Amino acid sequence: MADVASGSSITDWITAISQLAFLIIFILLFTGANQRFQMYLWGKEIRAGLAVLQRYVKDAEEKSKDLLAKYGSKRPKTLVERLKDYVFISPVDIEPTDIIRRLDHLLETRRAQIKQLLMEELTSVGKVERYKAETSLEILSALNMIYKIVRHILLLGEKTNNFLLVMQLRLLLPQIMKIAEGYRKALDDFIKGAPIGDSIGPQIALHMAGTETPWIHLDDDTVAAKAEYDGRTLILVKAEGPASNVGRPGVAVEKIVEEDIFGTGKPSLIITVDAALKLEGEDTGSIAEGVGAAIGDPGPEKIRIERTASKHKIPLRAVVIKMGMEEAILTMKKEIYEGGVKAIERLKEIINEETNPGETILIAGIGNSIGIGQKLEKTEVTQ
Amino acid sequence: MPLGLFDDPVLQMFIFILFIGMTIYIFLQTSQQAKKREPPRKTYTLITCTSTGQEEKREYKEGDYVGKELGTCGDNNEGKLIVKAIYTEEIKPATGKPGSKGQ
Repeated sequence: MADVASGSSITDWITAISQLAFLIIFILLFTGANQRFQMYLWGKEIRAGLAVLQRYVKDAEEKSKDLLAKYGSKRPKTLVERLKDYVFISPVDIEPTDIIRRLDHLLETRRAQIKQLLMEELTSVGKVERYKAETSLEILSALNMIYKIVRHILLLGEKTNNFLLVMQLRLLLPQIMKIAEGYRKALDDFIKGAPIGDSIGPQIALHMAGTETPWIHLDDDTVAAKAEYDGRTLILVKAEGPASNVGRPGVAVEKIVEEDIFGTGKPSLIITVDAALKLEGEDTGSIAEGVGAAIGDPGPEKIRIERTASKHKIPLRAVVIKMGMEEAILTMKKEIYEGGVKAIERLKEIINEETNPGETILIAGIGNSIGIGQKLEKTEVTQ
Repeated sequence: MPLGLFDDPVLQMFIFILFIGMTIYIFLQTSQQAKKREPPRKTYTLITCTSTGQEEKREYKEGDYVGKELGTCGDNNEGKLIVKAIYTEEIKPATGKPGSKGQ
């Protein structure tokens, strides 16, 4: 009887503990404790990501300082500190009149100011090295901005006990980390100086022109060349390489059409070739064609191409080579190069189908010309 | 408990432990971010001869760029060696099949 009583007492205790546990969990669910616990876990995960981002920023800072010192800078630390937090204030957009002109002016001011600063600081090196230093500082600035924004949202979410803000940040964290990781790897690749995925546009322009064709400067950073294809005249535009540089293709297209730089008359077709972000599931290096200006600038260059084409009623066609965000800023993959070969074939098909022999076609190879050189003409005809 | 089945305290304890175990398992699963490692890649320079069209691939050297002239080629040195492309390829692990020489 004593054993039975003892057994009954233990089961009573187990029952009481389990029911109490269920009751506590039930009450906690209604008081929002689960959300607070969840927020704590998310905060912990975001902090882990933030520590990685901070490491990326420090690494990029060290690499930029080393690069500047290698290129003869006397004050690499000051320069890095000054350009790391360089802000770009967008023009007023509630009054859209002349917004493109204002945006263009601000972008140009920014570009000229950074260029001037580096020219004064790095006097003993050439354009390729100066542009490498500029790109490394831009990557550092981008990484620093990502780190600061993530930290800001986390701290704000915790300060105001905003469960949804922290949740959204946690859900976006893998994508943010992927972008930051891409920038971190890109820094090494830019310092190396090999072409990146985004260089496929300038590479296609170079291959279409042929290796012996001389190129002329249209401005400090953009070059153009004239070549022949199947009885037609091709005018090719790209950023000047092999420095890390995207040039001003919009200005170049406008100048070539308006001023008839090569004396060929008005082009009967304008084609832009560029790298485009692929959708998940699409193959890297696959190509697509369409209508419009394939260019990913903030606006001023794209609108120049569109305005020039529409003003002169020139059909505007586009060929794009698909790649991921990370692939666009890292050293070019073989699949992208092969995509470029296919894109050249597609360009030839478009030219044969849509133009006649004797006509002129303007092809703009859009993208960063890092690692893509050209043979410059000794005596240039442009101003 | 409304159902007689759950009146058994051992079963209740079992469900409770199962519930806690599952919570810990889900927490561990979500906290471990399965990172897919990208296979290593190597950068190559593709060089072409303008007169013969022959192509040769070698490892990338700092200073290489597309369009760079590297020298002359052809039987009478009439052609130019030009860098045609620079790209990365995945490094495939050598297949260690018995009897094969490998790469």
